[in-house]
Amino acid sequence: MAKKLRTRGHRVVLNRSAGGDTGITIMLTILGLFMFLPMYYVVIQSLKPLDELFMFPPKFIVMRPTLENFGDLFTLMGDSWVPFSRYIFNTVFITICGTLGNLIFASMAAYSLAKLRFPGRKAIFNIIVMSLMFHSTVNQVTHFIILSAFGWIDTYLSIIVPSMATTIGLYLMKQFMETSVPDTVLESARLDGASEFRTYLIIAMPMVKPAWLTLIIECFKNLWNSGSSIYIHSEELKTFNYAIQQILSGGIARSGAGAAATVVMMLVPILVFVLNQSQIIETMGSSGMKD
Amino acid sequence: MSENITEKSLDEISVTPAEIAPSELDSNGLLKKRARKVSLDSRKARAGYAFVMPFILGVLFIYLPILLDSVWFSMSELNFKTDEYNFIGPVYYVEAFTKNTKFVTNLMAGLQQLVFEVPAVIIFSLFIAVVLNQKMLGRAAFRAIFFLPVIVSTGIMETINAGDIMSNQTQGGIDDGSGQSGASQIVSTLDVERLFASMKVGGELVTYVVNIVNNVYNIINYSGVQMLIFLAGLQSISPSIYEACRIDGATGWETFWKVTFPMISPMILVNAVYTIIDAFTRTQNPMIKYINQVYGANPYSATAMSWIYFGIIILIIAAFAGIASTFIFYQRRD
Repeated sequence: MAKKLRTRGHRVVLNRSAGGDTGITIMLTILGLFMFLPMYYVVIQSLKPLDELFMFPPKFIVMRPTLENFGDLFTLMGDSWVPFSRYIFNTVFITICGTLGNLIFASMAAYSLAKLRFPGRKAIFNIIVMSLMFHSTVNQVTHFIILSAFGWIDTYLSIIVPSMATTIGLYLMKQFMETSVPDTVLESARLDGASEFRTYLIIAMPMVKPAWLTLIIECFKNLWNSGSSIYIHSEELKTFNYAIQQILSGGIARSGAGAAATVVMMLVPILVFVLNQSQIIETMGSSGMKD
Repeated sequence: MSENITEKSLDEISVTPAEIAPSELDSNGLLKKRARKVSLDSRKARAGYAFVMPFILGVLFIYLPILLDSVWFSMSELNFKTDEYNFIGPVYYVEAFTKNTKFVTNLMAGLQQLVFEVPAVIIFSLFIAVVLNQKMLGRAAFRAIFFLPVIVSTGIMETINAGDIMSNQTQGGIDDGSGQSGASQIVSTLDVERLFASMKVGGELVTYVVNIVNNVYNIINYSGVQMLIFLAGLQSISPSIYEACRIDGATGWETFWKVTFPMISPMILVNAVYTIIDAFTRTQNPMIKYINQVYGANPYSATAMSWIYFGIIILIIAAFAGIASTFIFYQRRD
């Protein structure tokens, strides 16, 4: 095993010993199990019939696995006033628009702030980062006033637009643009007649692929989990997350459906993460500098 | 320096063709000439402004008004008779420090938590990222597993039953009863103290270590995103540098400290800033909890307090970034 690892790949850490390899694998396995446990438990919970759910002490195995909980969840969904597909659509729509917007704006702004020289860019960067950082519950009143001045209350815009700009998105992209995009490559693209936008899209963006894939995960996760918002009061515009919370407020009798809902909600971000990370592994060879 | 020279020479090139073409200099030739004479610098600048425009607009029209309003809000009081806000000056700011007994305590608790958390999270996530960046069996699976807590510990999962499950599962542990941090106490303080006392080290270190050990579960939970950022940073280090190291006969240990660490140092700053913001704004933070609680009774005072809090965060981040930037290594590739 270790022998094979040592020869394969082009970025192998040097002087690896078989002992170290095994040690790392064992350590990772232990830590990994530790982290995997809650996840496993949630899945197991969703497969337990009601009487097993409340067993004390809780067990890590199911004695009589059943899909009843998922059935319950879908029955409850079918009973809702607004068709359930609408909640799902809302969540998907908000998540996709918000993530895409964040990706585009953050990376464009970061490209400009990191790679283009223009007066006042440091000041602009500082103002943006500082103002976006201050975003807590306490701003609610003023936030509400501004959004209502725009007429955005009770529209998708009230959630999507503010989520399009995040400090960490801008910060992350800027740092990556600064470190892993060589100025010389951009210069040569410009000399070859590429417009600034083209340079950004075709030259700079592929070089920071790991960064924006990370940004996508982070943003997707946040928006997917966004629950009820005070800016939205029409039932048709509320999210999947909110609907599930409503279902669960039914109490103990619905805890089976609750466990099933948790699994459903968790599945999508995990799927996105896995797909996304498989992309990251393929990236590389971005730094084509021969000097 | 070299960059400036190239820019200048490009500038000259872009100017000359405009002067050579006299055939186009008729009635509106002047205008044309002026339009053409835009230097490369200002063209670049124009592109730069265009690219940040969405952000600038967003800040100007959404965030800045919110901030200004909120400053004004924190210094005013609603007059119920006239239904207007009256300006009363920074009364609540002063009160927070002078009259409020809980404000300073909570603030200190929040800061203390930060001191524990930031180094722990950064070291842990860097370690895991470096390990997971190696070629190994089941790397993708390991990465997914290490990112799981982030997904599990946000949003609905937290509100429904993940919390219950965690506490159910972890609290039956070794040291029961005094689990204040959400998860249970994994190691008894007494045991660790005894161990450290026998090693003859100071008391502060003992509390530090005990705190970290007891918060291990939280620290792992909070380091998912940081781990991803480090991973992305590690991915963008050129393999040829490692190859050169190998040829020169550097050991793994040397390669880490001489190559990986300097190359990843900009990401350490990003992660520190991320961790600080994350720690300060999450709902479990004692200060945020307190502000939310006050908000129900007196929104003006709560707004004032959160401005003070924000000022402190900014100061901490600025101080950290200032110190860190002297140590950060930015790769020069020109």
